[in-house]
Amino acid sequence: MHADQKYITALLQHDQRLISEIYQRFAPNMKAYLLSRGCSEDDAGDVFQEALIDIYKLANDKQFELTCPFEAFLLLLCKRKFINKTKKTSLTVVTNGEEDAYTHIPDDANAGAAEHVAQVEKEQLVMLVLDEMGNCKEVILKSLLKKPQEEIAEELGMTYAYYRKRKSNCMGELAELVRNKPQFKELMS
Amino acid sequence: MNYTYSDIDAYLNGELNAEEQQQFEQELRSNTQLQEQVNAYRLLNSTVGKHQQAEQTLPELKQILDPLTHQYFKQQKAKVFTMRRTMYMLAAAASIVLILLVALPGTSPDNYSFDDMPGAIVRGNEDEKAKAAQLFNNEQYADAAKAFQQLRSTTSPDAAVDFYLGISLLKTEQYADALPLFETLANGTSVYAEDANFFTALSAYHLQQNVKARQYAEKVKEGSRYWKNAKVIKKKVK
Repeated sequence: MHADQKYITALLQHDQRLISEIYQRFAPNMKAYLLSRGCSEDDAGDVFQEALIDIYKLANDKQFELTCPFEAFLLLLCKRKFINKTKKTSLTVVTNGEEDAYTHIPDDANAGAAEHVAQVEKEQLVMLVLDEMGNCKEVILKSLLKKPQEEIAEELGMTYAYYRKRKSNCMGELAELVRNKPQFKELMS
Repeated sequence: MNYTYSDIDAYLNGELNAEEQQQFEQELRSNTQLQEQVNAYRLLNSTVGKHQQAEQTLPELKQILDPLTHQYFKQQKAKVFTMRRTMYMLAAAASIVLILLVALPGTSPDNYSFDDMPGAIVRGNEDEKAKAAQLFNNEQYADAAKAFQQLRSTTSPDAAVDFYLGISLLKTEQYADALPLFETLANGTSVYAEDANFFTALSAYHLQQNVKARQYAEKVKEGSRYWKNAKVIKKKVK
């Protein structure tokens, strides 16, 4: 586990002091980098904050272990988010932007960062697929609430037996949709 | 035997009887497709559960992230006024006077700007803090001060509340009450610590506590949005 795991814990515990430290240490370089690539100040702020929220979600089960410097993970995540943002808009990426601010990140940190970012993106795809599943989404989300399953069946207006069947069918459907996404081949193996 | 997702669900929930479980596990050892299905089912359960749990506590985290993102990334947006054509000349003249007041040494240190308090609009959850923020952002400083003071007496310490209460007190010329608030913030670790150096200096300046005013004005770093105002204070209390 990397020493920067403290920043993951800080996000999970809503530790204002350490979260301020994240901004103090990493925001100025990230802002300079993103602006040099043609990003606006507002978009740079959104990219940075969204990246922190992605990390928060990834680590929310308290199982996540950081294996590289936090900055390397954050940088790669912000880069990927910015590129995705440019694909959705007419924004042009400046390709010869500022990289000097990151020469202190060791090369071997990139593999760990890439692995973490891949995990973030795979989980995001699961949630995107789920989002498009209509009634199944409601059944799946409710089934994961920490309350008796009989109570959930009642809330959904289903008999318990039908709810169990519907739930497993919906999960199966989600699994199949996800399995058909090429990005998930590795995750599912 | 072909297993369905209902069987997988029952297996993962420990709902198969001993014989069914043994048969399932025997199949699982040799059937790679079933292994994949079980792994996928398990993984999706944990991923969706984790994200659902995170969504529930996300608003709390965003209350910390929003002001920091604003502070480090966002530009101050100028307020847009509409005015009659005949007013343009007067406005231009007033702007020039304002620029001179801010830029020239020896002018008032009270010409300072600050951000709106974040969190004024909370859809579906108009809590007390949001209401106080709304009052502040509407420049109803006396009412905002009362609302913030009420909040302080009923909720756990909050640097944002203290900071915006301090500015409300400054705006209503209650310098003696503002000073200890800003001094505590300036010596703390919150995101408001740096700005609080200037506001401590300003409160002390109005209370004619010149040593303290100078001491805190000197802590305002070059590059800070309050650096010029702090410079004016240093000049005035020399």
